[in-house]
Amino acid sequence: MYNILFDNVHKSYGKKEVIRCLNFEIREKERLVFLGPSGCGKSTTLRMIAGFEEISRGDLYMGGRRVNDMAPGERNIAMVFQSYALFPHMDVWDNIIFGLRIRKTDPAEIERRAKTAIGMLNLQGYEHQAVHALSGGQKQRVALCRALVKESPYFLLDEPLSNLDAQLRQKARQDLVRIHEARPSTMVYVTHDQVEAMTIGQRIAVLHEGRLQQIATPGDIYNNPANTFVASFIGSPAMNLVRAGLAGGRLVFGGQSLGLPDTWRRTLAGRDDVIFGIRPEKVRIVSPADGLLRAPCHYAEHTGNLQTTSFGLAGQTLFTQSSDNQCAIREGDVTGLSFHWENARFFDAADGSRIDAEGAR
Amino acid sequence: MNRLTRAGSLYFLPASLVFLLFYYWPLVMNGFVSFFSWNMISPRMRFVGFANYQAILQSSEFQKVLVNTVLFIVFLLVFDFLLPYFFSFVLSHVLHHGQMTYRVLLFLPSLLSLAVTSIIFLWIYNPVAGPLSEILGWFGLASPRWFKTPYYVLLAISTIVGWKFFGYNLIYLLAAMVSVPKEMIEAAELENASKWTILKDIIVPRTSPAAMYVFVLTIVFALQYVMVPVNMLTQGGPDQHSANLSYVIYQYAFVFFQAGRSAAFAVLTILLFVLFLLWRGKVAEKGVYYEN
Amino acid sequence: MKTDRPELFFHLLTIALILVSLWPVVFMLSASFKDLSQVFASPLNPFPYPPTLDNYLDVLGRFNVFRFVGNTFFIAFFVTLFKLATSILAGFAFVYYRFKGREWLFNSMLLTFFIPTTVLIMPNYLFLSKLGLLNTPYGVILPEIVDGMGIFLMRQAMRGIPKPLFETAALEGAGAMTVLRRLCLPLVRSPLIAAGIMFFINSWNEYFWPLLVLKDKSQYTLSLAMQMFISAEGGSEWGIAMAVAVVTSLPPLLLYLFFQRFILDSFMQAGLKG
Repeated sequence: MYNILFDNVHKSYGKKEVIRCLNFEIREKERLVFLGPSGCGKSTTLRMIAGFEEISRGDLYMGGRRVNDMAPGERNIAMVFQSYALFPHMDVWDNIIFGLRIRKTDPAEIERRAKTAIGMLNLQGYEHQAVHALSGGQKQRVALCRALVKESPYFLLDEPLSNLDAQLRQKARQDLVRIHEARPSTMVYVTHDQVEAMTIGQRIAVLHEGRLQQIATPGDIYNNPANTFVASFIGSPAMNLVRAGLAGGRLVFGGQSLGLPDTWRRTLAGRDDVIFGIRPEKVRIVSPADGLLRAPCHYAEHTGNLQTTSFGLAGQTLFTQSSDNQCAIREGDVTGLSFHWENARFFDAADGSRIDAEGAR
Repeated sequence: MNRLTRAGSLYFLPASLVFLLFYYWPLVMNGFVSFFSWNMISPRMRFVGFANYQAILQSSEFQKVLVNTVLFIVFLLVFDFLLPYFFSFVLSHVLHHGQMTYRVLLFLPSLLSLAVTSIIFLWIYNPVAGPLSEILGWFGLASPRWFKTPYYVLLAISTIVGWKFFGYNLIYLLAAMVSVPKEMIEAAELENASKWTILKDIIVPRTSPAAMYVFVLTIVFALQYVMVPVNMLTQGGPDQHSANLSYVIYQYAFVFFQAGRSAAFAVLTILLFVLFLLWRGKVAEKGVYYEN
Repeated sequence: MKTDRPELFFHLLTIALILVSLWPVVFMLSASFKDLSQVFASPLNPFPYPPTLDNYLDVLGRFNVFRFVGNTFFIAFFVTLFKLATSILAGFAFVYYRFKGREWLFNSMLLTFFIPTTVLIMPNYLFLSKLGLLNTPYGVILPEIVDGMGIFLMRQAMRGIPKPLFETAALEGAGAMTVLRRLCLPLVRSPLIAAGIMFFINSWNEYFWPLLVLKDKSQYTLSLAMQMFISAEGGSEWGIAMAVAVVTSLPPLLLYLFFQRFILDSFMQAGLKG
């Protein structure tokens, strides 16, 4: 069993707590992505798995063994760093077999593993190139190659694609998934890029201010964010989040009021206010008469396949919408907006956590 | 990184041991010996309390030595601090080319030993037939007897040490000067700032840590490097007019065989040195611009 | 690029400075090829006419110069070797390990670079005499096998190695020695060589400490031997003294000739980090 288990893990530097109470499991052979804004603790968490950061409180188990005090070299981990961490004084080949040589692996075995990995990453012909002569994408592949030859059950990646340009990045994402499918290992991937997280991760763990916000499949994270932070962090443009009042079974915001369906009326009964959320693409532009809401357009933006429009509601609240239908709408136009209630999400006004409809889920 | 292990502390052992035995223990030893009257050879050391310190502080020799020490420092600050500072600015920010060649040539004297330098300058300053006396002769001037005349001897010896260490300090300051971001100076030039303004408002503040380092180093080395020419050329003479604190420490121990007196001089030197470092620490806090 | 008038002035000023600073070196060289009458007759003429090798032959004939060269080299070589070794070990450990009091220990080592060495010579002399090392090259070498600045420079150089490289090695279970040998040493080769060259030149040029330790003429280093040819009264054998001075200066000058760019660049880099 090569899983990784966080049991009440805390990490602090002096008095400053940077990781608070992590409790979750990374399953064997899954691709888990740590996602969050910079400073959220995702890299620190990864480095605790690698053994570079001490764990202040709680226990970390890998494959059932407590590893808090185990040296990095004993954990059998392969890792790719953001900077690639290639040894500038060695050529590509020596970089790739560095670890195997230190571990005194049998030369024939070294040869075999290195050749296979080089083949998988299309690095044939570069074996004896100096590292500084490589392009960014090649360096990234050498770093990946060096991790692969280790054939470790654990594979950690710390923002491995953030130094590549956009086109290379897409290719590299696909390569990574392909390699993992061919050689499954317990893979932990750190990124601040939600596209990377959605495309690479089988599950995503969203971190914020040292706390785990949600750990779920990409679809779940997108459709059912656990709280307002996740809702606003994932998606571009992010989910609309509007503070709304509740009065007599109606949702009141932006000077308008909407009648709630029965399930929501029951679920939200007893609350004075709530945060109402809906993904921009779930909002349709309709004629003023057909709309649940009526609002003037503030701003419209076309990016070829997408149109993003923002609307003002009583001056304060901005509503954005994206869609691929090219209906002509101009700033100042007043139009109707409509959505289905099953696409609406509600969050607690005080702590931001999601409120599930009674009977649902 | 890694927690220090027992095996890890072995990496520090050789250095720590030698530093302890040959750098820190001697400081303690000086303190101890300074309370005794001892000729370094006899097995008997006579305890004399503060007599060594009293004798030193009341002697006119101490005053003379202090004045010499200060004058050496002042001369060397001119030769090895102000002058290289000025020329490093010229090389890096006034001249547009030639910097590489100039620095190679200007560093060259630093490679000669002080002993060699002393001998060369002994001949240069030779009052009868030396090159300098020849040059002075053109102007109808008689050469002073450089190493035999009070104060002249300080200047002459300062030029020897100054000549040797000029290049070293120049390179150090040059490194600081070229590291001042070009954009900063270009921005100032766009405002039509003069070279003087650029020096005063950008270069001086930006290079102040390096300048501070060279300043301290010049003072520390002014204390000890003058010993070589002094010992080779004057032995502190005439009449102790070229002896500085460093030299009397050596002299009392190895020429006059008064180890206690030598140790007391050493202790006083260390005290002055510590005072200087404390003063430097204060100045550094106020006047020196450190990044981060 | 055109050179404007004030710039021309500063070029001339710098060239004048260079002439002043190179003149003594030129003078040393030319006097070593002059016979004594020429030295006195035309002290300002840099060209010996006719040049003579008598001074060098004299030095070779009358003194065992090779012995002095050998003594100097022996001391300089081992001082350099040990200084590098102790600096590498300590500098590395300061980067590789963390522990309470690390900065304190480091500062106490760096501080030794600033302690005026004169306050150390008498106690060290007594200590070496107890050890029975006076009048031996080992006595000269022993207190000089460490260097505060060397440790500083090595630590700075190794600090510059990106942390992920250390971590990659750690993941492979590499121990401290492996990290030092396989990772750090190859990456700090330039500053290491530069430090080695400077250690060697400084030790080669040293005068005072060998003067105290070495009493026997057969143990003398070149700098000490040189003093035998001069007297403070402006004695007679100038040409010979200059010939010995040239021999003494040759190794540092040759090292500089071959490595000047390298020495200056690493020097300036080290300076920046300081």
